[in-house]
Amino acid sequence: MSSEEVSINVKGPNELKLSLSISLDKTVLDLKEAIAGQSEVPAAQQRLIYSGRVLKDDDALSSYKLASGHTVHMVKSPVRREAEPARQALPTMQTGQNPTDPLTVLNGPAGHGLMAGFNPFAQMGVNPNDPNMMQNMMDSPEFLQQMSALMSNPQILDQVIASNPQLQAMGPQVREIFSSPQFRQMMSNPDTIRNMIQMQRMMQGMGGGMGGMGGGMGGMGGMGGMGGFPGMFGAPGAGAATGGAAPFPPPGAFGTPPAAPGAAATGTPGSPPAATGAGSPPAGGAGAGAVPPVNPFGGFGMVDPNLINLLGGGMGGMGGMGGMGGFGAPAQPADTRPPEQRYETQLAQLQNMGFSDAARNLRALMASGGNVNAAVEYLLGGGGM
Amino acid sequence: MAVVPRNFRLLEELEKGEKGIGDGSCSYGLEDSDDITMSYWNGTIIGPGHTVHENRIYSLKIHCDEAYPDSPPRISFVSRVNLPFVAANGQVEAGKIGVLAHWRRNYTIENVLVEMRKEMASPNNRKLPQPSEGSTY
Repeated sequence: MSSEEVSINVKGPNELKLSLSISLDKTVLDLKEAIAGQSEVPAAQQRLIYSGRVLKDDDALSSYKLASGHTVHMVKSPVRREAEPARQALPTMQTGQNPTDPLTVLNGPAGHGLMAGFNPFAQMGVNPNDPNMMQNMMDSPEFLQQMSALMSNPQILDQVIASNPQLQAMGPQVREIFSSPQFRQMMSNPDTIRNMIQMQRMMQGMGGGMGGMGGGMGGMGGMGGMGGFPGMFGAPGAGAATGGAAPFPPPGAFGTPPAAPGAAATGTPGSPPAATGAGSPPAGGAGAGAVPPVNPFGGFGMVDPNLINLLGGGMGGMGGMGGMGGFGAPAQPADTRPPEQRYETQLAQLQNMGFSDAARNLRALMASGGNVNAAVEYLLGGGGM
Repeated sequence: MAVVPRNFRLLEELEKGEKGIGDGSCSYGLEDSDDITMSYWNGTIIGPGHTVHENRIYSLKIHCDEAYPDSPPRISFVSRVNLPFVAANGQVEAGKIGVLAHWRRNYTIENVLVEMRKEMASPNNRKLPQPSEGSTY
């Protein structure tokens, strides 16, 4: 057709209104770029509608019979968000895939029933970097309730303990730790957990690869003035440091507790609570005996990123803890494949069942740790929108 | 009041569609601007926010036959959608949506699109699982 200029109006989101002149022999993509020049919306995110049609990038404007004074509607496509941090947290969900395992049950549909309406992973998948996420989670009464319920379920505790040799070695004290109201309070105290998150951020920001440094930072956990907690922080701190830097756990950081904790103790001599917390358990197994009942958390923290891991895993939906506690170095080697690949078969299954929104399916699978039944439950419940 | 003849009515609607008068959530225009009978139309509905339809653009075909606007247009979805008033082949079932079931002569194509968009946002429909975006009938 002609190279006639037309002046058209563009209506977009947020009351955006533009007038621009463009030659009809230009393509739709040219028009998008012209719009991008006058608005904040990049061409790639624009979808243009005119006269009941979605305009295709390669078509010439003349093919749509645009005329002066006509209006094109612009819709902004959502930005694709990375599911990156969710991946970090996911390995914690791999615990207990056998059906007799109470942890699996928790991960399964029943577990989801328990967690109805509460799904940290949904948020996790969608916007894992949202600093408000944890906050929101913490503010959720269900979360606290759930935490408490989990902690007081002896079956689950036994399972957690039985599945970790280190813990087994620690014997009955572990149960005590878990069932102690202090521990429960700690796990459900938003402030504590928030501190942990901050700690983890810090570690990631520094990109520190040294377990020792993690331990050192852990010592700083004492800054909250909570004598019992530094040890607790020490372990997640180390987890974050290694998680950020290396895909596998450096043995010094976890396998041999004396190494990292030692660093914590010496690294921050100015922090007495850290020193005691770190110093008390000389080694995983033996540490148990040495843990004085008055300070159970020091011992717990030292020995146990793995335990936290298991816990995190066991809590199914609460796997959200993964991102938070710096469980970057889980008991099993982390599956670093992108979730699309990892859940390829499950995705196909969901697709066959008629759930055709791939992105939503993926979120559901991430939320359920790859359990198709739980994912279906979740999708039917309207999750993953 | 004088009855607006079909052609005048459709011309009016065409102009309104091209100029984008309205809230911008729905758009419509002739499939072929050379179609002097103005029978075959395209329409789009931008999925309402805070629903499963958010950020989706649904394309539709609208057929205004000789009886329009005395009788309602026939509408079918081109984009796959899961809604109670849309049959398995994408056809909108007139009996199942008020604006078509209780058609009045002064209703327009835009009214129909806007009503369907409202239905998408209704509590019953806003969370219905939807086919993947971009699939068509």
